[in-house]
Amino acid sequence: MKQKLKNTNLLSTVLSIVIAVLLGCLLILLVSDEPFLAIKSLLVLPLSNAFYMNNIIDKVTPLILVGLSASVAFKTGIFNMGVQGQFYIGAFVAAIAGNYLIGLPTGLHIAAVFLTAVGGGVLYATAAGALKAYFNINEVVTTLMLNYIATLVTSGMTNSYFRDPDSGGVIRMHYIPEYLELKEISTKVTAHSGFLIALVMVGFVYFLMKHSVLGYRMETVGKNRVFAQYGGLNIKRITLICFAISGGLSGLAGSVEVLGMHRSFFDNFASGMGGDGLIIALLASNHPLGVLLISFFFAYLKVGGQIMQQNTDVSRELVLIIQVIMIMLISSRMLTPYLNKRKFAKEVKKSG
Amino acid sequence: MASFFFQQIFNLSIFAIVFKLVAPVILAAVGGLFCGKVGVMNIGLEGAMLVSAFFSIVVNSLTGNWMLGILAGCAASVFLCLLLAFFTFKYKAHHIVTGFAINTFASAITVFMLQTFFGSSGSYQPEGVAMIPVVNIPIIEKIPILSVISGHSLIVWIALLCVILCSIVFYKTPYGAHLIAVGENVQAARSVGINDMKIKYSAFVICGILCGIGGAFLSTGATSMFVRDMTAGNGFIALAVISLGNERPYGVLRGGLVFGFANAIAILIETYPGLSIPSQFIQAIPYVATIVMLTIHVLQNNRKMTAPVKKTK
Repeated sequence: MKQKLKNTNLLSTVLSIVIAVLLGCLLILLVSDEPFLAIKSLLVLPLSNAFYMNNIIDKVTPLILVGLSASVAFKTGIFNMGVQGQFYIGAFVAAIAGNYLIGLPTGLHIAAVFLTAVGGGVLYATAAGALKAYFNINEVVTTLMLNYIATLVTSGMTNSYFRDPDSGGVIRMHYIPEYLELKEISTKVTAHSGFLIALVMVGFVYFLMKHSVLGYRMETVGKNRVFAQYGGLNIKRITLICFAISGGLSGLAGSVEVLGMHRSFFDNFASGMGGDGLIIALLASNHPLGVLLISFFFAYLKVGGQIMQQNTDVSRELVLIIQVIMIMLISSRMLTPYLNKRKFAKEVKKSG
Repeated sequence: MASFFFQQIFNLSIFAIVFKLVAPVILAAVGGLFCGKVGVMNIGLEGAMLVSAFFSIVVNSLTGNWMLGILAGCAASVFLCLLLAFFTFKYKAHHIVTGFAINTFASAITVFMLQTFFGSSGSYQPEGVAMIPVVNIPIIEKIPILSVISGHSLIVWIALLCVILCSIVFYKTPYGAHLIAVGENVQAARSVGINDMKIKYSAFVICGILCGIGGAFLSTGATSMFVRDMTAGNGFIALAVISLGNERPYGVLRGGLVFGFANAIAILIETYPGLSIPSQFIQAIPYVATIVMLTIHVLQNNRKMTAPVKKTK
């Protein structure tokens, strides 16, 4: 029965995606002077050559990590809207550690960069977590505020104190030393090896959520807080741990972006990242493997959107609109009342 | 430095800043209050204000009429709020999820239209925007201290009026009683014949109108341009202000003013001559202040609630 349940979910997700993409194409037809080139750029060209494919893998890496981050929180029933801020803190700390912990042996330096970046994300998220756990302050408001604070503070730091004097018109830090960079995966797959880190993390979260006691506890809290409390779970502790894991993953995403893609911290370089993470987690129903798939789809749309913006008069914000339509359709389960009803009938038959 | 602030407060320019900052937040917060009363934490306030800011300035510059601008903004904002209500109530989607989606949608659609129709990805600054008028009160503007209340935008007064009206609606009218009943116990409300769906949707329409006015003020009252994502968290701060005000209309006004003063002081620090703090740090002050105020507020409330328990021990 579980298999069936998943199938209906999957079917509704796929249907929603198809409908959203079709509506996006309709919008292109309405506004564009060269709609067919635009649709081709959006949907076909990203898969047309190796360069774009590698581009997709580069783009998918942070998306997987922020998607996992959001999914861990949502699974525990916590709305960590602060993925964006934790991502920036991770990226910023990674760039600082990369540039200023010079003198450490190479291996130790690499470890230090990752540890501090993840630690930054963990601390930043746990701040909101502590407010939630101990004072019951709504985490939605605090994490949203913390996003603005992280964006502004890292921007101010980069502008005023850590800016590379040779950076010209671009506001960024010094480039990190070469030995810290995440290398290309192979000569053919020129995407950076952060992708492998992301895959490992998918495995980690899968194990955590499906096969560990902690994951089971987190899920129980997410499903029914009151029940979990009666069952003797320490809700405060689990809330804090959940924020820590979620923030750590976001911080890791930030550091991977800095080490693999940009090689420095640029002022406000990934403003939509947090939102993408939340949307991916929602579309994947918080399942780690779903996060992997949906992230690929998003990276594909992103690359397509970029090509479309270069080739035609359609702005890449169209991709965001498609994403929103997807969330609306999926979160409301609009498409499957019929399927759900049938599923319910079957469940009743089985149990009765 | 102290004398500088004293001077600023003394010549009362700080009040002008406070009211300008607070008006849209209070409008959105009162709107959010209506949604809160029917049990929805509306994080789509941000998006509703944003679309209104966009549509009001576009219609305003096309027609040269600020009232039509506000109307268009309100229409767009009401549309978004109804969309949110539709998905939340009809399809039982989680309101944080849909609210978040609405915000993303608002941000994307405004930038998309900016690019498609005006060929700009950052900002839109049309010629001939008819600004929302400023109210100068004839005699009072000449009296030294009372002149504080003159020279504010019409929207500031509307915001104040909305707080008062909201309080009357909540606590003195049947509609307000129905609203609160639906929020507290839907079954009970239904059992006495209240049409809960009608009440819920109407709350969202009211919220849309208020956010619409607030958004229109941002683009055609406080400034005369539209910048992408120009609401900059005003809608989220409105949510914090609602908590600060214990979900009551006058509480919202008080919370909003406290927030406004914190913010205005930040702006004064920013304009203080010869100061070398990065401007971004100062821009972060309102957000930090919001979290701090929220924490203090909750701590105070907790103390009030736990006090009798301690006594019995």
